[in-house]
Amino acid sequence: MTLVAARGLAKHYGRTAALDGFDLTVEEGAIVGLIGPNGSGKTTAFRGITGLARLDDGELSVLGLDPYRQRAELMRQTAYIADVGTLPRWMKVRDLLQFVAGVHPAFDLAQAQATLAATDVQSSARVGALSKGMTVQLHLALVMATSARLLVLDEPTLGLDLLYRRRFYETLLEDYFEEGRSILVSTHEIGEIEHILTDVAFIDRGRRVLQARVDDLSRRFAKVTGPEAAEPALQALQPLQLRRTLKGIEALYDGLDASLLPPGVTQSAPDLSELFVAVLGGDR
Amino acid sequence: MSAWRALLRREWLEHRAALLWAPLGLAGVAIALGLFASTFDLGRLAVEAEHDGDPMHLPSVLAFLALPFVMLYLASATFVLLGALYDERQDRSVLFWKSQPVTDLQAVLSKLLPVVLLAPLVTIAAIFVTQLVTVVLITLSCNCGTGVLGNLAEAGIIGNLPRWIFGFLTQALWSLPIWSWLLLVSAAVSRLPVLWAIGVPAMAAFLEWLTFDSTVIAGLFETYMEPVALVSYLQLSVAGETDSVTWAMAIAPWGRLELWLGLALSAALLAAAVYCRRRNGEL
Repeated sequence: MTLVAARGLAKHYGRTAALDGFDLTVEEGAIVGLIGPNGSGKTTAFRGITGLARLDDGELSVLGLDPYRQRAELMRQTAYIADVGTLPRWMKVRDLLQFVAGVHPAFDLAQAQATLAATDVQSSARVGALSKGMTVQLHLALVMATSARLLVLDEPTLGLDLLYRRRFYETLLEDYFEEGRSILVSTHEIGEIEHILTDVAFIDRGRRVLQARVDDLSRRFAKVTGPEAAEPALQALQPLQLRRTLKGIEALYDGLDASLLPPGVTQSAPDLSELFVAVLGGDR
Repeated sequence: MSAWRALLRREWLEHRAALLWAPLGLAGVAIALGLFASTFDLGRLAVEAEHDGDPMHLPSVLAFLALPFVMLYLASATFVLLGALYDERQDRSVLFWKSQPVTDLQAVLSKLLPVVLLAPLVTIAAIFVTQLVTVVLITLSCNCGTGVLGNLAEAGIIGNLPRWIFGFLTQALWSLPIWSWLLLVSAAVSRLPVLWAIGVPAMAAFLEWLTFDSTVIAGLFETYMEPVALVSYLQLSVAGETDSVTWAMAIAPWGRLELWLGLALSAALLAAAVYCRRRNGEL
């Protein structure tokens, strides 16, 4: 079942196009990473998908609903926190949990309390008095205790140190992800989510430039390295990107016919960040 | 816990200082002042005053005592409503609130109802306690009139309580267009809500007067800021007209067309506030 079906989404702020014909698909059970540079439209896409922003154009269905018109209905089955900086600072942790328990039918108060009990977060503390790391733990506890069909995370680890970032994704994968649940997560730090994704979508200047299953990437894309002498032959095969390295030449291909490769080169699978640079960096 | 309960509790947590502690604090101050005054035997004057419109007689003094509470409520309500859908955008928490399954209509009503319907009850309670304690203190210190119970009956504060509550709630509905306007401003403008709330109608009224030589807009504000249901208490406190506190006065506004037009106007203003709230949260 398709949980998110977005086609041709457009959103303009004044004369700037934040989304410019953006497409995205999230299937049930998938963990989709939306990856793009700063200002590429990730946040706007998420605000559209969660009904927080009205889009100018395009077709969008999330859990079969129109997010902007049916936001409250959508949120009953979704766990979404725009970013940790938006938690109400004046509220006590305890009151915040109780509020969510009151309004969100899929929120398990006892579970959230149990999660927090294992952290440094005091339930009597004000949200505004928590450190950045503790705020993320609170965020995480809120999210983990919500048994939603769709979890939307927009740059969830922004501004965190490495330890918290790693723990965040580990907990996400171990405790949250189970059958029938889907996660849509954005980041511009590819390396830290690469290993948890089932699908990846690249966004650049408001457009999706690639969406693929992670398993298919190694079949579809190829990284070829060889001596400098191989450059003309590799160039002739129309690489996405070709660059000189200390060891010679490195080229990245989409749908390479390996039989055409010149002798003396080696082929391997590119990692996500190499792919990202090749796909997005081509015209820069 | 139901969603409405959670929403109202949220408002209560955020605004209890303005809507609860402030009137209770004022009650404390008023009672302390009453104690001070009674040492000068002012109480005896009030209790023994003739019922001939003497502004110093007990019911007038007690009604006068209520005025600061009413003014405090008006000020608190104004600032709470003006900040209601404005502050949440300033600190970006609107993004969090909107990530919960709460409709924008629920959000707007949850801001309006505590201020317009629940807070008045707190204010009335604070007034009631203050009046009660004042009568007891006066009676004990001057040992005059017909004893504590007699003076309480004389002052009419218990007998008047149902009318007081009814009057306050009637006033809340009568002035609903004003409250709704404040909420709309709070949802719509991105800075200086106080200025907008006053400036827009003032400017509109001025332009209307300049262009059409009419005063419809100014008239609207004048109508709905009129203390229709509280007027009897104003008369009582200023002129000492005890007879004015009657059910007929309390019910009168319900027979006026302006009340019902006002409710329709409020519905339109609130719908506009819901529309703005739905758009809030964009980048």
